[in-house]
Amino acid sequence: MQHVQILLLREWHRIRGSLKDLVVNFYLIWPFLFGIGSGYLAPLTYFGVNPKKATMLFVGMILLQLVIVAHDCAMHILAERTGANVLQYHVTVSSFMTVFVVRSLFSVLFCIALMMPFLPIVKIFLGSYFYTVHTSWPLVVAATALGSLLSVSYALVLSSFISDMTQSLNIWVRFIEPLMWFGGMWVPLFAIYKALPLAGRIARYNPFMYVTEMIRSAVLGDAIYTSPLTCSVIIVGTSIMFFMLSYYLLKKKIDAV
Amino acid sequence: MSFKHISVFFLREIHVFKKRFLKTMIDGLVVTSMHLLSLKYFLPAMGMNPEWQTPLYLGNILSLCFVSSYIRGIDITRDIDGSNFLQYQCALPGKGLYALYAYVFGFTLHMVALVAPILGFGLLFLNGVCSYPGSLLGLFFMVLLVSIFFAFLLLTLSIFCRPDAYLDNVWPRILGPLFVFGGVFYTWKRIALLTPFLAKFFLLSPVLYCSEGLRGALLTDADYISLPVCITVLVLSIMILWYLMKRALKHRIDYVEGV
Repeated sequence: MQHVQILLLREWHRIRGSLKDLVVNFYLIWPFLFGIGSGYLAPLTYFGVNPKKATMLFVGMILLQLVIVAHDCAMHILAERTGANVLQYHVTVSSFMTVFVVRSLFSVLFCIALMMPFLPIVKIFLGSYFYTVHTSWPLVVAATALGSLLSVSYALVLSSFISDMTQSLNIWVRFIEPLMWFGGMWVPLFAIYKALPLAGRIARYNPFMYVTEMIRSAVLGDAIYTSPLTCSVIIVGTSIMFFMLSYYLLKKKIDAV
Repeated sequence: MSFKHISVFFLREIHVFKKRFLKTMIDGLVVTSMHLLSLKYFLPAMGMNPEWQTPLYLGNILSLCFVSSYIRGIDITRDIDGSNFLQYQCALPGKGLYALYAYVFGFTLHMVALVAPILGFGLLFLNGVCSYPGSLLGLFFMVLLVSIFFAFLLLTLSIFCRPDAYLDNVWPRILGPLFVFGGVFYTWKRIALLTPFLAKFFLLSPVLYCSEGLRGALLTDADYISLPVCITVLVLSIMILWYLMKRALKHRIDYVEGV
Protein backbone atom coordinates (compact mmCIF):
# COMPACT_ATOMS: atom_id res chain seq x y z
CA MET A 1 0.00 0.00 0.00
CA GLN A 2 2.90 2.32 0.80
CA HIS A 3 4.33 1.68 -2.67
CA VAL A 4 1.02 2.60 -4.26
CA GLN A 5 0.93 5.83 -2.30
CA ILE A 6 4.52 6.76 -3.18
CA LEU A 7 4.04 5.97 -6.86
CA LEU A 8 0.82 7.97 -6.98
CA LEU A 9 2.57 10.90 -5.31
CA ARG A 10 5.39 10.63 -7.83
CA GLU A 11 2.89 10.84 -10.70
CA TRP A 12 1.27 13.86 -9.09
CA HIS A 13 4.68 15.47 -8.64
CA ARG A 14 5.43 14.83 -12.32
CA ILE A 15 2.39 16.77 -13.58
CA ARG A 16 2.39 19.44 -10.87
CA GLY A 17 4.84 21.62 -12.79
CA SER A 18 2.60 21.82 -15.85
CA LEU A 19 -0.66 22.08 -13.91
CA LYS A 20 -1.21 25.76 -14.73
CA ASP A 21 -0.77 25.13 -18.47
CA LEU A 22 -3.05 22.10 -18.34
CA VAL A 23 -5.80 24.02 -16.54
CA VAL A 24 -5.61 26.92 -19.01
CA ASN A 25 -5.54 24.59 -22.02
CA PHE A 26 -8.20 22.10 -20.95
CA TYR A 27 -10.56 24.26 -18.90
CA LEU A 28 -10.47 27.32 -21.08
CA ILE A 29 -8.84 27.17 -24.51
CA TRP A 30 -9.92 23.76 -25.78
CA PRO A 31 -13.58 24.05 -24.65
CA PHE A 32 -13.74 27.50 -26.23
CA LEU A 33 -12.16 26.40 -29.51
CA PHE A 34 -14.12 23.16 -29.80
CA GLY A 35 -17.32 24.88 -28.72
CA ILE A 36 -17.05 27.72 -31.18
CA GLY A 37 -15.57 25.66 -34.04
CA SER A 38 -17.42 22.36 -33.88
CA GLY A 39 -20.44 23.42 -31.86
CA TYR A 40 -21.25 26.65 -33.61
CA LEU A 41 -19.43 27.54 -36.84
CA ALA A 42 -19.28 24.17 -38.60
CA PRO A 43 -22.93 23.22 -37.88
CA LEU A 44 -24.01 26.72 -38.87
CA THR A 45 -22.51 26.11 -42.31
CA TYR A 46 -23.85 22.56 -42.60
CA PHE A 47 -27.40 22.98 -41.28
CA GLY A 48 -28.07 26.70 -40.71
CA VAL A 49 -29.35 27.81 -37.29
CA ASN A 50 -30.30 24.51 -35.63
CA PRO A 51 -29.04 24.17 -32.04
CA LYS A 52 -30.24 20.58 -31.60
CA LYS A 53 -28.42 19.32 -34.69
CA ALA A 54 -25.36 21.39 -33.80
CA THR A 55 -25.29 19.80 -30.34
CA MET A 56 -25.78 16.34 -31.84
CA LEU A 57 -22.77 16.92 -34.09
CA PHE A 58 -20.59 18.55 -31.49
CA VAL A 59 -20.89 16.39 -28.34
CA GLY A 60 -19.10 13.48 -30.04
CA MET A 61 -16.00 15.67 -30.17
CA ILE A 62 -15.44 14.96 -26.50
CA LEU A 63 -14.11 11.61 -27.72
CA LEU A 64 -11.24 13.39 -29.48
CA GLN A 65 -10.27 15.20 -26.30
CA LEU A 66 -10.53 12.01 -24.22
CA VAL A 67 -8.30 10.13 -26.60
CA ILE A 68 -5.75 12.98 -26.80
CA VAL A 69 -5.37 13.01 -23.00
CA ALA A 70 -5.24 9.20 -22.79
CA HIS A 71 -2.71 9.06 -25.63
CA ASP A 72 -0.50 11.63 -23.85
CA CYS A 73 -0.59 9.56 -20.65
CA ALA A 74 0.30 6.37 -22.53
CA MET A 75 3.09 8.11 -24.46
CA HIS A 76 4.56 9.31 -21.21
CA ILE A 77 4.66 5.72 -19.94
CA LEU A 78 6.26 4.71 -23.24
CA ALA A 79 8.88 7.47 -22.96
CA GLU A 80 9.74 6.35 -19.42
CA ARG A 81 9.96 2.74 -20.57
CA THR A 82 12.10 3.32 -23.65
CA GLY A 83 14.13 6.33 -22.54
CA ALA A 84 15.50 6.51 -19.02
CA ASN A 85 14.03 3.11 -18.00
CA VAL A 86 12.12 4.74 -15.12
CA LEU A 87 9.32 2.20 -15.46
CA GLN A 88 11.72 -0.70 -15.13
CA TYR A 89 13.21 0.91 -12.03
CA HIS A 90 9.78 1.31 -10.44
CA VAL A 91 8.99 -2.34 -11.20
CA THR A 92 12.24 -3.41 -9.52
CA VAL A 93 11.54 -1.50 -6.31
CA SER A 94 7.86 -2.52 -6.08
CA SER A 95 6.12 -5.01 -8.39
CA PHE A 96 4.84 -5.00 -11.93
CA MET A 97 1.24 -5.31 -10.78
CA THR A 98 1.60 -2.31 -8.43
CA VAL A 99 3.20 -0.13 -11.11
CA PHE A 100 0.63 -1.12 -13.72
CA VAL A 101 -2.32 -0.48 -11.42
CA VAL A 102 -0.94 2.86 -10.24
CA ARG A 103 -0.15 4.10 -13.76
CA SER A 104 -3.53 3.00 -15.10
CA LEU A 105 -5.44 4.41 -12.16
CA PHE A 106 -3.61 7.71 -12.29
CA SER A 107 -4.11 8.01 -16.08
CA VAL A 108 -7.86 7.36 -15.75
CA LEU A 109 -8.24 9.85 -12.88
CA PHE A 110 -6.14 12.43 -14.74
CA CYS A 111 -8.27 11.99 -17.85
CA ILE A 112 -11.50 12.32 -15.82
CA ALA A 113 -10.22 15.42 -14.00
CA LEU A 114 -9.32 17.16 -17.26
CA MET A 115 -12.42 16.16 -19.18
CA MET A 116 -15.21 16.37 -16.61
CA PRO A 117 -15.73 20.15 -16.93
CA PHE A 118 -15.49 20.11 -20.75
CA LEU A 119 -19.20 20.10 -21.61
CA PRO A 120 -20.29 22.44 -18.77
CA ILE A 121 -17.65 24.98 -19.87
CA VAL A 122 -18.79 24.71 -23.48
CA LYS A 123 -22.34 25.34 -22.23
CA ILE A 124 -21.13 28.59 -20.64
CA PHE A 125 -19.55 29.70 -23.93
CA LEU A 126 -22.38 28.66 -26.24
CA GLY A 127 -25.35 29.43 -23.98
CA SER A 128 -28.68 28.41 -25.46
CA TYR A 129 -26.99 27.31 -28.70
CA PHE A 130 -25.80 24.24 -26.79
CA TYR A 131 -29.07 22.31 -26.55
CA THR A 132 -29.37 20.95 -23.00
CA VAL A 133 -33.15 20.91 -22.49
CA HIS A 134 -33.23 17.12 -21.98
CA THR A 135 -29.70 16.70 -20.62
CA SER A 136 -29.07 14.34 -17.74
CA TRP A 137 -25.88 15.73 -16.18
CA PRO A 138 -25.25 12.68 -13.92
CA LEU A 139 -25.33 10.53 -17.04
CA VAL A 140 -22.90 12.94 -18.76
CA VAL A 141 -20.53 12.49 -15.78
CA ALA A 142 -20.85 8.69 -16.03
CA ALA A 143 -20.27 8.73 -19.79
CA THR A 144 -17.17 10.93 -19.43
CA ALA A 145 -15.76 8.63 -16.73
CA LEU A 146 -16.43 5.51 -18.80
CA GLY A 147 -15.00 7.20 -21.90
CA SER A 148 -11.83 7.97 -19.93
CA LEU A 149 -11.61 4.33 -18.83
CA LEU A 150 -11.90 3.03 -22.38
CA SER A 151 -9.55 5.61 -23.90
CA VAL A 152 -6.82 4.98 -21.35
CA SER A 153 -7.08 1.20 -21.66
CA TYR A 154 -6.88 1.39 -25.47
CA ALA A 155 -3.96 3.84 -25.39
CA LEU A 156 -2.12 1.50 -23.00
CA VAL A 157 -2.59 -1.43 -25.39
CA LEU A 158 -1.18 0.61 -28.28
CA SER A 159 1.76 1.92 -26.28
CA SER A 160 2.56 -1.64 -25.19
CA PHE A 161 2.90 -2.71 -28.80
CA ILE A 162 5.44 -0.09 -29.89
CA SER A 163 9.10 0.05 -29.07
CA ASP A 164 10.04 3.72 -29.45
CA MET A 165 8.62 7.23 -29.52
CA THR A 166 9.03 7.71 -33.27
CA GLN A 167 6.22 5.21 -33.91
CA SER A 168 3.78 7.11 -31.71
CA LEU A 169 2.62 9.47 -34.48
CA ASN A 170 1.92 6.60 -36.88
CA ILE A 171 -0.07 4.92 -34.13
CA TRP A 172 -2.22 8.03 -33.83
CA VAL A 173 -3.00 8.32 -37.52
CA ARG A 174 -3.45 4.65 -38.33
CA PHE A 175 -4.92 3.11 -35.19
CA ILE A 176 -6.68 5.93 -33.39
CA GLU A 177 -7.97 8.40 -35.96
CA PRO A 178 -10.06 5.90 -38.01
CA LEU A 179 -11.56 4.48 -34.81
CA MET A 180 -12.63 7.96 -33.76
CA TRP A 181 -14.14 8.86 -37.13
CA PHE A 182 -16.04 5.58 -37.17
CA GLY A 183 -16.67 5.96 -33.46
CA GLY A 184 -19.21 8.72 -33.78
CA MET A 185 -16.78 11.54 -33.09
CA TRP A 186 -18.34 13.66 -35.81
CA VAL A 187 -21.39 11.79 -37.03
CA PRO A 188 -23.70 9.57 -34.90
CA LEU A 189 -24.30 5.90 -35.62
CA PHE A 190 -27.78 6.36 -37.09
CA ALA A 191 -26.42 8.77 -39.74
CA ILE A 192 -23.60 6.37 -40.66
CA TYR A 193 -26.22 3.60 -41.00
CA LYS A 194 -28.43 5.81 -43.10
CA ALA A 195 -25.60 6.80 -45.45
CA LEU A 196 -23.67 3.52 -45.72
CA PRO A 197 -25.38 0.54 -44.01
CA LEU A 198 -22.25 -1.61 -44.27
CA ALA A 199 -20.15 1.06 -42.55
CA GLY A 200 -22.86 1.31 -39.90
CA ARG A 201 -22.72 -2.43 -39.25
CA ILE A 202 -18.90 -2.29 -38.97
CA ALA A 203 -19.09 0.77 -36.71
CA ARG A 204 -21.24 -1.19 -34.24
CA TYR A 205 -18.14 -3.29 -33.43
CA ASN A 206 -16.18 -0.17 -32.53
CA PRO A 207 -16.26 0.25 -28.73
CA PHE A 208 -15.68 4.02 -29.02
CA MET A 209 -19.03 4.29 -30.77
CA TYR A 210 -20.70 3.45 -27.45
CA VAL A 211 -18.91 6.31 -25.69
CA THR A 212 -20.33 8.84 -28.16
CA GLU A 213 -23.73 7.13 -28.20
CA MET A 214 -23.87 7.35 -24.41
CA ILE A 215 -22.80 11.01 -24.40
CA ARG A 216 -25.36 11.89 -27.09
CA SER A 217 -28.05 9.99 -25.26
CA ALA A 218 -27.12 11.79 -22.00
CA VAL A 219 -27.09 15.25 -23.58
CA LEU A 220 -29.99 15.00 -26.03
CA GLY A 221 -32.11 12.36 -24.30
CA ASP A 222 -33.35 10.89 -27.59
CA ALA A 223 -34.30 7.24 -28.01
CA ILE A 224 -32.48 6.96 -31.38
CA TYR A 225 -29.19 6.30 -29.60
CA THR A 226 -28.07 3.01 -28.03
CA SER A 227 -29.34 2.79 -24.43
CA PRO A 228 -26.88 4.03 -21.77
CA LEU A 229 -27.03 0.67 -19.95
CA THR A 230 -25.98 -1.27 -23.05
CA CYS A 231 -23.25 1.31 -23.71
CA SER A 232 -21.95 1.05 -20.14
CA VAL A 233 -21.77 -2.75 -20.23
CA ILE A 234 -19.91 -2.75 -23.56
CA ILE A 235 -17.48 0.01 -22.49
CA VAL A 236 -16.65 -1.62 -19.14
CA GLY A 237 -16.28 -5.07 -20.72
CA THR A 238 -13.99 -3.80 -23.49
CA SER A 239 -11.94 -1.73 -21.05
CA ILE A 240 -11.30 -4.74 -18.81
CA MET A 241 -10.23 -6.72 -21.85
CA PHE A 242 -7.88 -3.92 -22.99
CA PHE A 243 -6.37 -3.55 -19.52
CA MET A 244 -5.71 -7.29 -19.35
CA LEU A 245 -4.15 -7.26 -22.79
CA SER A 246 -1.94 -4.26 -22.03
CA TYR A 247 -0.90 -5.87 -18.71
CA TYR A 248 0.20 -8.98 -20.54
CA LEU A 249 1.95 -7.12 -23.38
CA LEU A 250 3.73 -4.62 -21.16
CA LYS A 251 4.90 -7.33 -18.79
CA LYS A 252 6.34 -9.24 -21.70
CA LYS A 253 7.92 -6.09 -23.16
CA ILE A 254 9.84 -5.13 -20.03
CA ASP A 255 10.49 -8.76 -19.15
CA ALA A 256 9.15 -8.35 -15.63
CA VAL A 257 9.41 -11.30 -13.24
CA MET B 1 30.07 29.94 -49.38
CA SER B 2 30.09 28.31 -52.81
CA PHE B 3 27.07 27.06 -54.71
CA LYS B 4 28.23 23.51 -54.07
CA HIS B 5 28.17 24.07 -50.32
CA ILE B 6 24.77 25.70 -50.44
CA SER B 7 23.33 22.94 -52.57
CA VAL B 8 24.29 20.41 -49.89
CA PHE B 9 21.67 21.93 -47.56
CA PHE B 10 18.99 21.51 -50.22
CA LEU B 11 20.13 18.01 -51.18
CA ARG B 12 19.85 16.99 -47.55
CA GLU B 13 16.24 18.20 -47.51
CA ILE B 14 15.49 16.21 -50.66
CA HIS B 15 17.02 13.15 -49.00
CA VAL B 16 14.83 13.64 -45.90
CA PHE B 17 11.80 14.11 -48.15
CA LYS B 18 12.49 10.86 -50.02
CA LYS B 19 12.94 8.95 -46.80
CA ARG B 20 9.71 10.11 -45.19
CA PHE B 21 7.37 10.77 -48.04
CA LEU B 22 5.71 7.37 -48.45
CA LYS B 23 4.87 7.10 -44.75
CA THR B 24 3.48 10.63 -44.67
CA MET B 25 1.46 9.99 -47.84
CA ILE B 26 -0.15 6.87 -46.34
CA ASP B 27 -0.99 8.81 -43.16
CA GLY B 28 -2.38 11.69 -45.24
CA LEU B 29 -4.57 9.33 -47.25
CA VAL B 30 -5.95 7.72 -44.09
CA VAL B 31 -6.94 11.07 -42.60
CA THR B 32 -8.32 12.46 -45.86
CA SER B 33 -10.41 9.34 -46.47
CA MET B 34 -12.21 9.97 -43.19
CA HIS B 35 -12.92 13.59 -44.15
CA LEU B 36 -14.13 12.51 -47.59
CA LEU B 37 -16.49 9.84 -46.26
CA SER B 38 -17.97 12.36 -43.86
CA LEU B 39 -18.45 15.01 -46.51
CA LYS B 40 -19.72 12.73 -49.25
CA TYR B 41 -21.99 10.40 -47.26
CA PHE B 42 -22.37 10.98 -43.53
CA LEU B 43 -23.00 14.72 -43.29
CA PRO B 44 -25.50 14.77 -46.20
CA ALA B 45 -27.33 11.95 -44.37
CA MET B 46 -27.72 14.38 -41.48
CA GLY B 47 -29.10 17.08 -43.72
CA MET B 48 -26.08 18.97 -45.07
CA ASN B 49 -26.57 20.39 -48.55
CA PRO B 50 -24.25 18.43 -50.92
CA GLU B 51 -23.24 21.69 -52.64
CA TRP B 52 -20.98 22.36 -49.62
CA GLN B 53 -18.91 19.25 -50.22
CA THR B 54 -16.25 20.73 -52.51
CA PRO B 55 -15.72 24.07 -50.73
CA LEU B 56 -15.53 22.34 -47.36
CA TYR B 57 -13.16 19.72 -48.69
CA LEU B 58 -10.86 22.48 -49.99
CA GLY B 59 -10.83 23.87 -46.46
CA ASN B 60 -10.40 20.46 -44.82
CA ILE B 61 -7.25 19.83 -46.82
CA LEU B 62 -5.54 22.45 -44.65
CA SER B 63 -5.69 20.04 -41.72
CA LEU B 64 -3.07 18.02 -43.62
CA CYS B 65 -0.82 21.09 -43.79
CA PHE B 66 -1.29 21.71 -40.08
CA VAL B 67 -0.52 18.12 -39.10
CA SER B 68 2.38 17.40 -41.46
CA SER B 69 4.19 20.68 -40.79
CA TYR B 70 3.57 20.36 -37.03
CA ILE B 71 5.16 16.90 -37.04
CA ARG B 72 8.17 18.20 -38.98
CA GLY B 73 8.44 21.07 -36.50
CA ILE B 74 8.80 18.57 -33.62
CA ASP B 75 12.02 17.33 -35.20
CA ILE B 76 13.41 20.85 -35.58
CA THR B 77 12.68 21.97 -32.03
CA ARG B 78 14.03 18.74 -30.56
CA ASP B 79 17.09 18.99 -32.76
CA ILE B 80 17.94 22.49 -31.52
CA ASP B 81 17.93 21.33 -27.89
CA GLY B 82 19.28 17.86 -28.59
CA SER B 83 21.73 17.18 -31.39
CA ASN B 84 22.36 20.91 -32.09
CA PHE B 85 22.37 20.26 -35.83
CA LEU B 86 20.84 23.63 -36.72
CA GLN B 87 23.51 25.39 -34.62
CA TYR B 88 26.15 23.47 -36.53
CA GLN B 89 24.64 24.41 -39.89
CA CYS B 90 24.35 28.07 -38.92
CA ALA B 91 27.93 28.13 -37.68
CA LEU B 92 29.34 27.07 -41.04
CA PRO B 93 31.40 29.80 -42.77
CA GLY B 94 29.40 32.16 -44.97
CA LYS B 95 25.66 32.66 -44.81
CA GLY B 96 24.28 30.31 -42.19
CA LEU B 97 20.80 31.47 -43.13
CA TYR B 98 21.00 29.22 -46.20
CA ALA B 99 20.27 26.38 -43.80
CA LEU B 100 16.97 28.07 -43.01
CA TYR B 101 16.17 28.59 -46.71
CA ALA B 102 16.78 24.87 -47.15
CA TYR B 103 14.45 24.02 -44.27
CA VAL B 104 11.73 26.19 -45.81
CA PHE B 105 12.34 24.42 -49.11
CA GLY B 106 12.10 21.02 -47.40
CA PHE B 107 8.85 21.87 -45.60
CA THR B 108 7.34 23.28 -48.80
CA LEU B 109 8.40 20.35 -50.96
CA HIS B 110 6.94 17.94 -48.46
CA MET B 111 3.60 19.72 -48.28
CA VAL B 112 3.15 20.34 -52.00
CA ALA B 113 3.97 16.70 -52.75
CA LEU B 114 1.49 15.61 -50.09
CA VAL B 115 -1.37 18.04 -50.61
CA ALA B 116 -1.48 18.27 -54.42
CA PRO B 117 -2.16 14.55 -55.17
CA ILE B 118 -4.46 14.09 -52.17
CA LEU B 119 -6.41 17.19 -53.17
CA GLY B 120 -6.80 15.81 -56.69
CA PHE B 121 -7.84 12.40 -55.38
CA GLY B 122 -10.44 13.98 -53.13
CA LEU B 123 -11.90 16.16 -55.87
CA LEU B 124 -12.21 13.11 -58.13
CA PHE B 125 -13.88 11.14 -55.34
CA LEU B 126 -16.38 13.89 -54.61
CA ASN B 127 -17.31 14.99 -58.10
CA GLY B 128 -15.73 12.59 -60.60
CA VAL B 129 -14.16 14.12 -63.70
CA CYS B 130 -15.95 17.43 -64.06
CA SER B 131 -15.00 20.97 -64.94
CA TYR B 132 -14.60 23.76 -62.43
CA PRO B 133 -15.07 27.45 -63.14
CA GLY B 134 -11.59 28.23 -61.80
CA SER B 135 -8.28 26.91 -63.07
CA LEU B 136 -6.20 23.94 -61.93
CA LEU B 137 -3.05 25.97 -62.49
CA GLY B 138 -4.40 28.67 -60.17
CA LEU B 139 -5.21 25.99 -57.61
CA PHE B 140 -1.69 24.61 -57.82
CA PHE B 141 -0.27 28.11 -57.35
CA MET B 142 -2.41 28.52 -54.22
CA VAL B 143 -1.29 25.09 -52.92
CA LEU B 144 2.31 26.27 -53.37
CA LEU B 145 1.67 29.57 -51.60
CA VAL B 146 -0.21 27.86 -48.77
CA SER B 147 2.64 25.36 -48.38
CA ILE B 148 5.21 28.16 -48.18
CA PHE B 149 3.07 29.93 -45.61
CA PHE B 150 2.81 26.81 -43.44
CA ALA B 151 6.54 26.15 -43.85
CA PHE B 152 7.34 29.60 -42.47
CA LEU B 153 4.70 29.39 -39.75
CA LEU B 154 5.74 26.06 -38.29
CA LEU B 155 9.45 26.66 -38.77
CA THR B 156 9.16 29.93 -36.86
CA LEU B 157 7.21 28.22 -34.07
CA SER B 158 9.59 25.28 -33.88
CA ILE B 159 12.59 27.60 -33.63
CA PHE B 160 10.91 29.92 -31.14
CA CYS B 161 9.51 27.28 -28.75
CA ARG B 162 11.47 24.78 -26.70
CA PRO B 163 10.31 21.15 -27.15
CA ASP B 164 8.08 21.01 -24.06
CA ALA B 165 6.36 24.29 -24.89
CA TYR B 166 6.03 23.24 -28.54
CA LEU B 167 4.39 19.93 -27.66
CA ASP B 168 2.15 21.24 -24.87
CA ASN B 169 1.13 24.70 -25.99
CA VAL B 170 1.57 25.27 -29.72
CA TRP B 171 -1.61 23.38 -30.67
CA PRO B 172 -4.01 24.85 -28.12
CA ARG B 173 -2.65 28.39 -28.09
CA ILE B 174 -1.51 29.11 -31.64
CA LEU B 175 -2.51 26.47 -34.17
CA GLY B 176 -5.90 25.75 -32.57
CA PRO B 177 -7.18 29.34 -32.88
CA LEU B 178 -5.72 29.65 -36.39
CA PHE B 179 -7.45 26.39 -37.33
CA VAL B 180 -10.85 27.24 -35.83
CA PHE B 181 -10.90 30.81 -37.15
CA GLY B 182 -9.30 29.77 -40.44
CA GLY B 183 -12.39 28.71 -42.36
CA VAL B 184 -11.42 25.05 -42.45
CA PHE B 185 -14.93 23.83 -41.60
CA TYR B 186 -16.92 26.76 -43.00
CA THR B 187 -16.79 29.44 -45.66
CA TRP B 188 -16.30 33.01 -44.57
CA LYS B 189 -19.17 34.60 -46.50
CA ARG B 190 -21.64 32.05 -45.13
CA ILE B 191 -20.59 32.94 -41.57
CA ALA B 192 -20.57 36.67 -42.46
CA LEU B 193 -24.24 36.37 -43.46
CA LEU B 194 -25.22 34.72 -40.17
CA THR B 195 -22.87 36.38 -37.66
CA PRO B 196 -21.25 39.49 -39.22
CA PHE B 197 -19.42 40.53 -36.05
CA LEU B 198 -17.62 37.20 -35.60
CA ALA B 199 -16.80 37.06 -39.29
CA LYS B 200 -14.93 40.39 -39.11
CA PHE B 201 -12.85 39.02 -36.25
CA PHE B 202 -11.92 35.95 -38.33
CA LEU B 203 -10.29 38.18 -40.94
CA LEU B 204 -7.33 38.41 -38.54
CA SER B 205 -6.45 34.75 -39.12
CA PRO B 206 -4.07 34.29 -42.07
CA VAL B 207 -5.22 30.68 -42.40
CA LEU B 208 -8.61 32.03 -43.51
CA TYR B 209 -6.92 33.41 -46.63
CA CYS B 210 -5.42 29.97 -47.28
CA SER B 211 -8.78 28.20 -47.23
CA GLU B 212 -10.64 30.96 -49.05
CA GLY B 213 -7.80 31.26 -51.60
CA LEU B 214 -8.00 27.55 -52.42
CA ARG B 215 -11.77 27.84 -52.84
CA GLY B 216 -11.50 31.02 -54.87
CA ALA B 217 -8.89 29.50 -57.19
CA LEU B 218 -10.97 26.45 -58.10
CA LEU B 219 -14.56 27.62 -57.67
CA THR B 220 -16.13 30.99 -58.46
CA ASP B 221 -14.67 34.07 -56.87
CA ALA B 222 -17.96 35.65 -55.85
CA ASP B 223 -18.74 33.29 -52.97
CA TYR B 224 -15.31 33.58 -51.39
CA ILE B 225 -12.83 36.25 -50.40
CA SER B 226 -11.27 37.43 -53.67
CA LEU B 227 -8.12 35.67 -54.84
CA PRO B 228 -5.89 38.80 -55.13
CA VAL B 229 -6.74 39.73 -51.53
CA CYS B 230 -5.87 36.20 -50.35
CA ILE B 231 -2.57 36.20 -52.26
CA THR B 232 -1.61 39.66 -50.96
CA VAL B 233 -2.36 38.78 -47.34
CA LEU B 234 -0.49 35.49 -47.60
CA VAL B 235 2.58 37.13 -49.15
CA LEU B 236 2.56 39.78 -46.39
CA SER B 237 2.15 37.08 -43.74
CA ILE B 238 5.09 35.17 -45.17
CA MET B 239 7.24 38.31 -45.05
CA ILE B 240 6.29 38.95 -41.42
CA LEU B 241 6.97 35.31 -40.54
CA TRP B 242 10.37 35.49 -42.25
CA TYR B 243 11.28 38.45 -40.05
CA LEU B 244 9.97 36.68 -36.93
CA MET B 245 11.85 33.51 -37.85
CA LYS B 246 15.17 35.35 -37.99
CA ARG B 247 14.39 36.96 -34.62
CA ALA B 248 13.47 33.55 -33.19
CA LEU B 249 16.76 32.11 -34.44
CA LYS B 250 18.74 34.86 -32.71
CA HIS B 251 16.71 34.37 -29.54
CA ARG B 252 16.97 30.57 -29.42
CA ILE B 253 20.51 29.80 -30.60
CA ASP B 254 22.14 33.21 -30.23
CA TYR B 255 22.83 33.32 -33.95
CA VAL B 256 24.86 36.24 -35.31
CA GLU B 257 24.26 36.96 -38.99
CA GLY B 258 27.22 37.38 -41.32
CA VAL B 259 29.91 35.99 -39.01
